[in-house]
Amino acid sequence: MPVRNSLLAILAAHPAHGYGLKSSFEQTTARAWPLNVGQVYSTLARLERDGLVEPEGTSDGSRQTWRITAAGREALGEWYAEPVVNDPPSRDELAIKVLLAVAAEEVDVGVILHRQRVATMERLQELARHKRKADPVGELPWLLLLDALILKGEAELKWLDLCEERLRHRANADPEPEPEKETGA
Amino acid sequence: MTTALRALIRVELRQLRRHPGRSWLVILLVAVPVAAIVGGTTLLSITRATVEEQKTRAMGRADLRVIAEDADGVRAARALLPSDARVAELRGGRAHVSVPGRRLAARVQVVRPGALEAGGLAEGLLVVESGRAPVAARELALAPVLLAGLERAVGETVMLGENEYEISGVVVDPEKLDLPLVLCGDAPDDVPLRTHLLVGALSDAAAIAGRLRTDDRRVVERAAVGGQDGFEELVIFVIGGLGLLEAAFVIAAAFAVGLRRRQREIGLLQSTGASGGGIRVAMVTSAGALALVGGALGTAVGTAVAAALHPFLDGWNGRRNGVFETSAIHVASAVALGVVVALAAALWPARTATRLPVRVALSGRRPVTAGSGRWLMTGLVAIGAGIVSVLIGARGGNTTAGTLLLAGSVLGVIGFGLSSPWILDQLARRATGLPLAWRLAVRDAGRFRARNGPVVTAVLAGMSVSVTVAALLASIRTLPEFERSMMRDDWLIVEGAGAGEVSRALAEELEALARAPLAATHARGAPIVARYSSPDSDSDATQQSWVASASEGLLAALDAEDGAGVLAAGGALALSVDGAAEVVELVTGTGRVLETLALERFEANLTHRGPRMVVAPRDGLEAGPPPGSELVPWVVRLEAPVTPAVLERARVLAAGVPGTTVDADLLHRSPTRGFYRVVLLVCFATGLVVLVVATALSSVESASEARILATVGATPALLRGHLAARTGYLALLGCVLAIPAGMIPAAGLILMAPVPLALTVPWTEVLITVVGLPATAYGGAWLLAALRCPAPAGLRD
Amino acid sequence: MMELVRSGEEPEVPVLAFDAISRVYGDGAKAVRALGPVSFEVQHGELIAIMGPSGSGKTTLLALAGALDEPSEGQVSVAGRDLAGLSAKELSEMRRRVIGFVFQDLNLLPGLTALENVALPLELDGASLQEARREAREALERVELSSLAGRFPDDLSGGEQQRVAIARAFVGPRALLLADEPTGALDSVTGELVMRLLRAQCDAGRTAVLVTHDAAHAAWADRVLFLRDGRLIDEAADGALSVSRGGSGS
Repeated sequence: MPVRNSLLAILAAHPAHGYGLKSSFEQTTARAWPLNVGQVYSTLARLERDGLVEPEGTSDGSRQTWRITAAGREALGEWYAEPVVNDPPSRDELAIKVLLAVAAEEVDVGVILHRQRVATMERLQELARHKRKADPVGELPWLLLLDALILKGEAELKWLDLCEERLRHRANADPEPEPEKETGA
Repeated sequence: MTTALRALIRVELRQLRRHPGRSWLVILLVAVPVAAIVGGTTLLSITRATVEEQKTRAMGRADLRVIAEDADGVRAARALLPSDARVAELRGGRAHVSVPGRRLAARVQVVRPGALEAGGLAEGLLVVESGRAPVAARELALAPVLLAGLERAVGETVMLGENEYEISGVVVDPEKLDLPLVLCGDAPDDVPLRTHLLVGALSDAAAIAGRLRTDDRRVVERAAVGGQDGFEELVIFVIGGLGLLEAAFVIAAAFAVGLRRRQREIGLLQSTGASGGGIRVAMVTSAGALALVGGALGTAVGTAVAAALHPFLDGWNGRRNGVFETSAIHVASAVALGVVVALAAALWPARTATRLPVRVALSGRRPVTAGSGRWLMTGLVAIGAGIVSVLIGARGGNTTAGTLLLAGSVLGVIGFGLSSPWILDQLARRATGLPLAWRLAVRDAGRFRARNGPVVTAVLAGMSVSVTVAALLASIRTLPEFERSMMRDDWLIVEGAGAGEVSRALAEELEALARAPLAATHARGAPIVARYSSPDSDSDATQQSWVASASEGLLAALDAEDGAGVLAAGGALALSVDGAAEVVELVTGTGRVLETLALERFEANLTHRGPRMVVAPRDGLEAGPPPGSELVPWVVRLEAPVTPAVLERARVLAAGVPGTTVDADLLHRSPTRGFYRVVLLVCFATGLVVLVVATALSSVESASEARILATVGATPALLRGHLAARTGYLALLGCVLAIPAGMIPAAGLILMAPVPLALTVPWTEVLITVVGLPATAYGGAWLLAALRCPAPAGLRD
Repeated sequence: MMELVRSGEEPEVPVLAFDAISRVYGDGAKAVRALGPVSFEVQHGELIAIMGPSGSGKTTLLALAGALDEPSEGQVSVAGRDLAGLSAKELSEMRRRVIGFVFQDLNLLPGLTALENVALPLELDGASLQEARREAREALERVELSSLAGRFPDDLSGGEQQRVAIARAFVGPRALLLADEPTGALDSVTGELVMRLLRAQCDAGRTAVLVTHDAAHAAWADRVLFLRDGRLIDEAADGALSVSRGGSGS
């Protein structure tokens, strides 16, 4: 869904061909999500089928230029107006891993949490290093993206702390002894 | 009371409990002056004669007391009285009572026993304490001091003059318990007596009194005797009021500091809906509650102290003092005054604290006071008004003068206090050159004037009283009379019933140069006065003095033997009389001029007790006690100035005869100065207390700054110096301002004084105030900081 | 004399060293262990962040590092000198010349201007007024606050106050900064500005240890230490091998 609407958004500014759409998108989003040209074309085909885009002029070989229709603008407007709700939530590998580990009795959840904490923090440090060097005026998209990633990382760390806390609480309430954990690394 | 107000008051009362130190401070500040007022007025009313007592002392139960010069005058007076008037005779004179080996001088009163009993005209004039009044011919009653001196008891006999009498009872003059009194029923032989008439049962006493009054007859009317103008109570209330005023300034400072610390809480209260007015009422109510407790405490302490002293009062002032009782009005007034003062003191800081915009209060940031120029203007106006008030009061009558003077001095103190923020600001701008600790103190005080101003004002209020007293005393000491000694330094003056005996023993033992009675010349029973004017002096006032009756010993005692010739020629010997007076008039008690004599000057040091004028005894004039004494004192002149050893010996001899005392100039030199020093010390102690309290309040704020200084690396010495500098600075400023503030009322009092005084600056005391006290405050704060040994404050958790 | 070499040769002595440090309050049955045993070292030029929930002992750790508190066991060394052996005078000298503090709030003396606050440690150390003011002005320039030099703390925003505090903490020869939640009361933009400043100072050769609960700010550090119940449980290092000391869930 974001790919469809991203293409619509770029075409709303000016008509473009396939490769142009790909490079515009990657530039605007700081190359965080590289697009496959084939994906672009297949998305364009679906948009044309839905009447949201139409070809412009004639195709001279492989470079067909596309432009947005009135219906397309309307659809784009609706997309911008409606807030993004993550329901059901997209697959979060970390959450899935921890939940499975909690369910499995032979897996040491504590080690997982500790290792993840260090890794997330180091990732944050790397991101912060990038942020230090970013130009707040010329590289604004990049900076915004870094902020998003760092804050999400911070949220992850907070969740890890909370997991540890809840697990400890359950262990205190549960009289069954826990298996011995390895120390150090 | 609305629930809102109740809730706010509850908040305030909880606050009081959380800060017991500050609460107790306010309580004590109110309690001490209230205790002084209550105790003082209670003791005063007990020791002072009531109006009825004064009338009884003057004339028993009679309506009139007639004093004639001789027997003819008495007869003439009797003739003028209505037939249904009651009359009693009161005769008096002087005589000696003796037993083998002891001879004492005494005052003799002759009254018919009936007159002294209940219903008699002389009832209450004299009181027979035990035994009974003398009725038979050879009976008399003696005062306790005579009984002790003669070592006799009721039922035994003594000699009065040449005759033997039996002691029938013990008699006292209720107003003069120490008077050596002899009461007889009939006139004793050989004792010259004067007669007074007590007249009662008159329908129109005033008219009859008018008829009786002549040139040589005095009439005292009952209605005219006595009366209290309440002046002494006023003085006590004024002094107590001043104490409360000083307390008010410290209370205000305490509240100002406390409310500053609660700034956020007050903002919180307002943001939850409390009105500024409601908060103010609650704060002031809490101050009032503390003041009530203080008033109750002060009343209890004052009453307790007065009750404890009550049994000893009779011995101290020599009269029958009344039953112990407190005046509800005085107590209520004192407590009310204390409460009002506390309410007023808390009102101003409460207003300032609640007037802050709520968001400023919530931020907890210190509010910076706007320009201090306006305060300076108000302060200068107040000082000006104070000076004017004092000057007007100095020319006014008695009560208005007192009020205006008090108002003027208060205005002056307030005026200087209002100017202090401006001064703090100005000094802060010029503080760059000072060492670091002082610079911090001065800059901080200048920036947060609203908080430090009250502390400076409290100090200045406390110290200005000391300055006023010091200036007054310094000015009094410049008077020539002050420089004058009490008596010659080689004199011993013996007084009392046994004066003659003891002085003789002293003269023998100490090989005195001379011994003589210090007697005054009397005409018809009253001392005469010598009147002389100096034509070249500026004022028209004539000078007067009592006239000593010459005797051989007296001239020797005065070291004026060369003047014997003048006296023999009938002239008057003048000792150190100023001016160029040539003649002197001898005037009787009623104002009649007896004689005019030529004046012969004789150089001698003028002393308080020594006579200024001496004449030889002549017909028609008798010798009697000098004004102010009941009996004739004896003077003994030694070869050398009296030493403490000699004085001690004299005292021992005097102790052998109860009621006899010995006086010497030695006794008056230190006590005069001692009294002066005691008064001043008390004032300074009060001032110092105020100073310590006020500056301790200011140090409360420096705790957070001390923490910051420590973490920035200030040495321990600097940390102590910082606290000490804050204290010393505020103390110094307050003390310096106290000098002009204290001199204003002093100037007023000096202008008002009946004696011409010159305004003198008490330099020693000024130096102590301006240098010594702030240095003490500085040192004390330094010590306190060192003792508390502050480890650098840890991080806040 | 305390001199910390800032540029040129790098000494091998760590700027701050905790050796088996413990801090226990109270005694007997009521003893509370606030910290320890804890050991770590901070090298020259490092920016260290300490994270942990409240009650984990981070404030105690910082207090021990700055000689505002004494350890019950173990040794704290700054630039190789054991803090326990120093007298009160030497400690105050240490705070003037070596260690600078920044707290969450109330860092500045309200009666002095920003410039005077920054100049204070230099004056305390004996510098003349002009000398101190000159260096203070330079320090304020480094934190980009020269225009506010004459203002009083009351007239500065929270962020500006913190920047002044940082300027003061690093003025003079001081090379070690200890900060307790310096960005706690600031919004994210201002907080980031403060972190940039600290980062720049450490890049220039100084050393800083800060306690924070904000991971986004801790991310600016070279190493992040995680504290829980008074023990160091994890350590994250930027670009270096990760060291996990995680044990059981306690």
